[in-house]
Amino acid sequence: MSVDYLHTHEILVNMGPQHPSTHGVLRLVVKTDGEWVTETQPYIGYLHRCAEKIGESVEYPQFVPYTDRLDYLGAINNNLCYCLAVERLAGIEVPERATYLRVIGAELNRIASHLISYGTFGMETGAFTPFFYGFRERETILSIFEKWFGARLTYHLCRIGGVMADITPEIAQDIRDFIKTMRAVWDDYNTLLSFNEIFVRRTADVGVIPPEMAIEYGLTGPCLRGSGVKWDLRKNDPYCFYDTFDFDIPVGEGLMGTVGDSWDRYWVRMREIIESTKIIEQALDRMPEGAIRAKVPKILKLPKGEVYVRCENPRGELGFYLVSDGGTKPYRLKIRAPSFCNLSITNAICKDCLLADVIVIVGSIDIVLGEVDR
Amino acid sequence: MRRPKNKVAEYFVNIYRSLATIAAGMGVTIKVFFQKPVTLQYPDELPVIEEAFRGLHIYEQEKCIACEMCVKACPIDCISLQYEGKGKKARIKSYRIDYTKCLFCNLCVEACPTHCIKMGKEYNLCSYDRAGCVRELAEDIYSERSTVSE
Ligand code: SF4
Ligand code: SF4
Repeated sequence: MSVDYLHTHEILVNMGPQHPSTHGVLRLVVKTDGEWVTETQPYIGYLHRCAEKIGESVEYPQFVPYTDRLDYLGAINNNLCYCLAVERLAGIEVPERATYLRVIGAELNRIASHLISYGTFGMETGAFTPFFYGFRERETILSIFEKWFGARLTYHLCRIGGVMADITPEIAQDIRDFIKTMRAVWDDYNTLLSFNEIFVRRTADVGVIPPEMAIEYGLTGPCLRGSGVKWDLRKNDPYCFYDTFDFDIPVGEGLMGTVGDSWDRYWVRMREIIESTKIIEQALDRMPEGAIRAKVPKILKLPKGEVYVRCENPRGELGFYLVSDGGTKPYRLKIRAPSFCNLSITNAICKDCLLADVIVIVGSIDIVLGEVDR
Repeated sequence: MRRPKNKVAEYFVNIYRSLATIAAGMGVTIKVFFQKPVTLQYPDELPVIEEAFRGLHIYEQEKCIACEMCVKACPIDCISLQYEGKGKKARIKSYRIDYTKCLFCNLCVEACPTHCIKMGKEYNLCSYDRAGCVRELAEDIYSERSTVSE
């Protein structure tokens, strides 16, 4: 439809930084022509905490709790990636049991993160109920975490050379029970939101990212897979025995509209929940007995050199680039945050759409501002 | 999903699908309505805190040997320790943790050779002012003018 004949003066609308539909403190400056959006510019930096500089000024083990605060919804994945980077440079061998525990923690955390994304995405399209369902199951995960290592948000589970605490048979049983519940309520989730016609009409064909464009903008994670590109670091650049687990990589198929629309990105996340439960089950079955922490010197000095380690965190490729000059602190630490790169596509896809769609599109990218600003 | 080509048909199919899927969603709500509630009426009902919980620290002064390992391990320097003497005979004058900074990371606990600092189950961190967030964990049992704050 041509809207030329309805042309009016363009208005600048300021969305955020404190706005219930932006995940955190994100400011979007939207240029609108009536209801139609012609330009969307994200402004970031409100949550900047100098994470990289802090990393350069504290010792290696001391930075691990800070990584919790980058992407606070996927904290274990962040811990894991940083620990892997340090371990690779230092040449520390992690016990097998610890690696399996890390996988269990990381995947549970991925489920928790996707559940939040499910709830908030529902809210953004005007459905309030899914939020409570998502948080109900997430609460179970948090209770398991609390029983396991004592924290509910800032986990600090992975330590350099292993994990903080072992799981008891009781906790293992809790995790298995949770998996059973999660699989049962997953269908309820879909009845509530995924296949709801109003939700589908709000999200299908909205904010379409073609695969080439997704690759050009450096998208990773569910945003990239939503566009139909099968790229998952757990399979493509395996770490922590992920290549030995049997799980699928869900990709967008354009079930409700075009491949790469908001619904596809959402659906990839929903299916990843089920895939993660598969991984956890296998890890629980295969986990050997043994130590959970390698012997790491009290004062950890890394050899001279540099390393880049990347992991698949719930939002995409998280990378830590470490440069060591042989001391107890990194000379340089660079964090490649998936949310930051994913957010860069906002202006390209929030064009010629309705104002209400901007919220849906930004929601479907699923950013965490703690990670964008670092 | 397949959508009908005819505009009029689409209009009615839309209405039908919306109503049908909302009704299906309502079914889930009704199913949950008859289940036990999972929420807790805090503060009337208190949550059960797990044994492993990392809350406010518990400090056993008699065991402390003033080795400062915990102070060095802390990423954010929120422990301040004052003492006289070293080793078994150490007199701890004050052991303060600044909870405006603490990350609840457990690193101090892991560093302590005598296991005298632990993380407890207390989760009420609120206080009316900034000064109240700095908690004194040691009792100054040696000096005459005790300056222990509550
Ligand atoms: S828990 Fe962490 S931040 Fe808090 S006092 Fe101990 S070492 Fe410091
Ligand atoms: S590490 Fe333990 S023994 Fe040493 S000063 Fe700290 S609390 Fe005392």
